[in-house]
Amino acid sequence: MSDAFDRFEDVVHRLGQLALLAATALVAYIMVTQVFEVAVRALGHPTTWVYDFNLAAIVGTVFLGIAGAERAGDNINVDFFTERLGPRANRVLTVFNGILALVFLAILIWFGAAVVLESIHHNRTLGSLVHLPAALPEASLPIGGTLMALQIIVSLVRVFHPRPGAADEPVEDRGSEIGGPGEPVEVPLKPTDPDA
Amino acid sequence: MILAVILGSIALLVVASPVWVFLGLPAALGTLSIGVPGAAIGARAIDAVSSDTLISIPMFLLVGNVLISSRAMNDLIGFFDSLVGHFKGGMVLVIVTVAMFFGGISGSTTSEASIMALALTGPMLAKGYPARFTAGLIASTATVAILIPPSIPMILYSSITGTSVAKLFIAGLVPGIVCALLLGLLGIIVARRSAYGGSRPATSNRERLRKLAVALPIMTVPLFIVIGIYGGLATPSEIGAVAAIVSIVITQFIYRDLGRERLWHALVSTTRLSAAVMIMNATAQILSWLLTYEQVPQHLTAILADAHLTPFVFLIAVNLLFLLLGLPLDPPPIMFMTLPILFPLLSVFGIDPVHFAVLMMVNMTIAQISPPAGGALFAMATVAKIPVTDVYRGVLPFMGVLILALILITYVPAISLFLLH
Repeated sequence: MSDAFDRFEDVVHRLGQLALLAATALVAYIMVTQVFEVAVRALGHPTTWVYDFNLAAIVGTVFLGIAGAERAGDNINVDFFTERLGPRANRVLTVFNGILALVFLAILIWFGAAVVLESIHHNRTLGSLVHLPAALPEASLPIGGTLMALQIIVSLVRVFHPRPGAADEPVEDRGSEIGGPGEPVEVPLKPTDPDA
Repeated sequence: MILAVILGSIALLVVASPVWVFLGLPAALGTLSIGVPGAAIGARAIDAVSSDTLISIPMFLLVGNVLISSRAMNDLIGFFDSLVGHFKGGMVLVIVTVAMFFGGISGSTTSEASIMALALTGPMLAKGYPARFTAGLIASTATVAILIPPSIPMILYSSITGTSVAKLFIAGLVPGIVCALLLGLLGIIVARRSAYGGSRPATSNRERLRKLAVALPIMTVPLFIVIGIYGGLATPSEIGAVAAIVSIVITQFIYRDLGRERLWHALVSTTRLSAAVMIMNATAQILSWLLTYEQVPQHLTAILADAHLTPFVFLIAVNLLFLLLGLPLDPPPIMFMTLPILFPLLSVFGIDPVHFAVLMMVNMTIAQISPPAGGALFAMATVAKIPVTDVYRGVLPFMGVLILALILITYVPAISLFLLH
């Protein structure tokens, strides 16, 4: 594979990490402001902004974090019916599922962008006291979706052209989830984690 | 059309498409095919995650990730071991108690099974408990985590159905304890009859007090969560945030083993996992919206009303359906696929949504240890390095006990609901 694609892959990974960094910052922000809200409410002075800003932040957390989740293999699938297939058949399914994911992401990005443009056009806000533009959290869907699509494209290409000297990072995931198989055990910290 | 969407989703599930794709892609195509403006798809996905209930997920995951990153878990095990570890079969009690406490922290079955397998398999084997029994006990007790607050599947249930998450958390507590007690009882009976595990001298009271002092900080976290929710001191998401800060403070300033790097790792890991869980919620809402738009629940309600089913028969059918789906699937896909259809039917049969949530969770616990695909089984086999067939065999008696608990909880709603009243 050409150097140009290697560079493209590096850019995609960096952008994904940047989005994950932003999503992580939003999680930290939510945590701190929720506690702040509890404290000031106990003192009799509840805020008018924590609830609305946090709803916007959780939307950003999800859509900006999905590319990172995809790269780390945190998105789950049910491989019960396919686990006995050979490597060739699994590779075909990997590509097939990758293409389906791209089709779905294209729909989400296109219509997510339509929602954002409509919000900008109509000056829509979150409809509360803070008047936060609705387009701000909504924009995280097309942005995060695009980053995830780029991540899937890179993974699909790498199925056929593994990067020399790099660990194989196929699109198929580890099947990790809450209450599901293969959830990453976080006890031993992984020093090689790309995001650590 | 709706039949094509459902068959399409099932086909994608079978070919191992990611869950967020098989839940959303056929529904999105179905939505477009009936002429609904496509912006509705984007709007549904965004609205689905714009939820105060879902804020609880990253908060409680962070609590688990932070505490797991420290030595707190070992201190907890050490304390319970000092209390009952010297009895014949005492390790069974240690495992059950630790499972309940840790379930109150992590909210995740597989995570708990992995941690417990890592921490307890060695001591169990060293004390003469056979690998098969050990694997079965640890895997099955770990599953009670999703009944005891905070439970991530309960939060998902609340997000899908609009049921109060605080009520769900409170309702899960007693059934969780009942399940854990039944598992412990069976474990002790088997251990004593088969003379598993030797006895050792009891730990001195002085040593017990020392271990209690060390474990006390971590023990306050689940206690704080339960009291906070039960006392209605704040919303579940706020309690999750406070619990996360408390966990960080405890591990940083009392256990002194968190550090900046581990905290960062816990935050990043929490973010990724939260995104992976909630993207399923976002795309499942497209399917849920389409089912509602096409009036599927109303049609099903009419069919069931005509069939004159009793609530008793309906609950048997639902339990069988969940157990069957639990063989190949894990809790989130089952919930996202079935709740949009089943939930509207509850009012037809006069079934309390909170009670239904609890029996669904007990079904999910059984699904987690159902061969061949239960998540806790693989976690157990992988981490403890016990052959998966041994784990399958070891877990069967405990599965039987959980099915007994399921029957009890299904037909005695008071077990789930009396704390609420």
